[in-house]
Amino acid sequence: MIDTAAREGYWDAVATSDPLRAGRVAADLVASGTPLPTVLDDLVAAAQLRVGDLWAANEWSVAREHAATAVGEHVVRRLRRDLEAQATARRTGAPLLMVCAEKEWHALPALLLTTRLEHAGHRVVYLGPDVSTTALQIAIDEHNPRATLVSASLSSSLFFARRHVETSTSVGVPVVVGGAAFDPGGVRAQRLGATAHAASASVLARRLPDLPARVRPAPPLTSDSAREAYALVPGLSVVAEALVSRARDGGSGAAVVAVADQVPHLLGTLVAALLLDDPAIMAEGRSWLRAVAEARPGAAAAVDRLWEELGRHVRDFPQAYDLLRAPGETRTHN
Amino acid sequence: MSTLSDAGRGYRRDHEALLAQLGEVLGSVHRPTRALELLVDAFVDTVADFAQVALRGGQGWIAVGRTAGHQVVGVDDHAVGRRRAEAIRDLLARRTAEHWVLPPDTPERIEVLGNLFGATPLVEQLDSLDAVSLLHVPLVARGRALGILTLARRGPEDFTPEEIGALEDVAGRVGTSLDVSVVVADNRHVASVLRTALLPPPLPSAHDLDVASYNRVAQEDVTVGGDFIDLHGTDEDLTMLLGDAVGKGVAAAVAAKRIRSSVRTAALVDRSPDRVLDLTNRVLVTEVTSPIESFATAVCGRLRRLEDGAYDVTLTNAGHPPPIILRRSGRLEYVESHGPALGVFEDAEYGSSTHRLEIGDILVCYTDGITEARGRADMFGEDGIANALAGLGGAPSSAVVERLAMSVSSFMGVDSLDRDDAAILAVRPTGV
Repeated sequence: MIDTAAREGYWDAVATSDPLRAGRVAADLVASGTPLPTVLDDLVAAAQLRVGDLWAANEWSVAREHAATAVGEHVVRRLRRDLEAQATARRTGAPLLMVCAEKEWHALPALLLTTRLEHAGHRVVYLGPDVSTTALQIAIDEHNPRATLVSASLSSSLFFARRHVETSTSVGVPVVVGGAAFDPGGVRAQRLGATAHAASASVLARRLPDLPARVRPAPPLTSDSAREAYALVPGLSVVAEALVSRARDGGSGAAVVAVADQVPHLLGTLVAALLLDDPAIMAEGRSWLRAVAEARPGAAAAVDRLWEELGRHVRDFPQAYDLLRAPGETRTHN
Repeated sequence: MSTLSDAGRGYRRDHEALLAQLGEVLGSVHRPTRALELLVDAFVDTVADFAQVALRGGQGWIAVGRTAGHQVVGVDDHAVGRRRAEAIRDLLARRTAEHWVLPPDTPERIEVLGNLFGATPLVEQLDSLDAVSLLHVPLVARGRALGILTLARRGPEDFTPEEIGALEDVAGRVGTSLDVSVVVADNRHVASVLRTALLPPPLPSAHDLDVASYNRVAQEDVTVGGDFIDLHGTDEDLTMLLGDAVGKGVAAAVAAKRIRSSVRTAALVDRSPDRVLDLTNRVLVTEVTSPIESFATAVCGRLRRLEDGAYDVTLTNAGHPPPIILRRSGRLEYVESHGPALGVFEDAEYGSSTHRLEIGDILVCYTDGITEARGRADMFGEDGIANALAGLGGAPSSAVVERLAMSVSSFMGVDSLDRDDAAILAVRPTGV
């Protein structure tokens, strides 16, 4: 357990973007006997959740959210360095390779997991946010990992996570996926072609010993819906531009800008829902956008314009069109 | 399992499945040890109950074996001992497939197996299969044997002559493919040594300076580029450098390395950034035959800590996009150029300007890979930077760097192929 004084001291440091003070609070807790996983979960991750909520509720600006997130990352990096310094034995054996999907900038979940795994005695190579398939390929070649761990926080990262699944399994390396983009039941992970899904660090720890040493290449995604996803992607930047400009028809106020900023995520969510043939992904995107709008007076109209404009652009894509027309309904699969 | 047509061809097991699985493996794996693991899997999954592949690589012999129902042997330690290597070499000298009938249950059997598979669990595993024979097929490429494939089946099933013919055929393809993977691996080893020499050392962490950086290379497959970042000196008196050598990839990385070294040397004599870049410029102009090879822009700074925890920053900008001082209040100040790009004019002269970096102020330097990142219609530009930095006054350096990198990434769109090297460096006095 972490006492209220430490918790408040930490939060105050996060809120005033003071990474050094936040790091001291966390390091002092570890030094005085609080288990590292507890500090990571109940202090760092908990504060980060609060940061996200404050942005969603429109109480914090994007910039403030970024500054606070940077504090969290600083703290974990520091705890990781401390851990490294006091590690008695050099960890040996094939490492785990921790990566974020390309364009996935939420590094904190991956950094937290890396630190927990290292604390449990695993060797981990952490590649950071926004990892390209080329970087992954090179790292696999260099480190010969026993598994690749792919973190995806946003559903819009699932399309890129699939590329990592292909990159890794094509050379026989198992892939474990995790992060907020995945459903707890692991359906998305399975459709993505991952070797395993881990909803938490402890689940991952349990699954690691059972991972196969080598895997077969993930089979291609060939559903009609997945084919549409691949067909949509090359034209997305044109669609994005049209959507942003349509959202901004309502002016350039903060609410409208906040909605326009969601366009890449919205499009990525549509592509992910198609790729994995999972309408729930689209439904989540829809409620996310609704929540953004509800916290920001004047945003609702911009959101409506977005949906209307998006509908116009996917008229030639029957699966996408269905997905947008039937929000949240579960289709039956034959 | 074997099909009717397999049986018609004299096959006892599914050789089609073997070919399909080998197709997935060969060509996509360039690391020999992993290739061997996947190969023995393919054989044990389809046509055999035991498989070992031994291969002569750049660093000596390596071998990986597996028995059905067991883990791969040799995963952590693929090296092959001397006696085992001799036994393998003997076999290779014969150049054709050898079908050995194993003596049942005698000390001789154990000795044969021991010679072939060393002191590994493979001997016992193979013994427990009750195999009646071992099939050795040399792996040949470019007219020389580079390795050997050894297969066995659970007794009493044996390989048919037709199967042995088919497996020799397969071994030819496996040999060619492994040969390439060994050559590639050797080349990669050379490349990785060179790459390591070209990569900048990690930035030091000064205890009261919050430093963050970002470096993306255009040609990711070589992982080096022409953008360079460096920071060195003492906690009280530091030299920072950020710049961009012309071009991309290895050639640019070599130029970048030359500039970093030259700046480090010059800074040992005199840390004044105008003097440092002046000297570096002369080195570049005299050392290099063509200005196209040596052209570079750079910002060099001297950071001196003051009593109150603030820093005195003297900057020299040689033809580089203007560094930005993001004040704690959120105000942006730009540091314009003090002279031409490096490596072009022998008589170039550089000035400098001095700025006070208060606690919480951030100095942000970046290369034109940021400002000139291309979206669909236009470039990210200084406006893009100003937008990305809005509201970040007083934030940690890493927040500034990440926000900027992220904004550029999202500006460039989903599948932008038009990438340039890009680098960002941010430093912020913390006062403690």
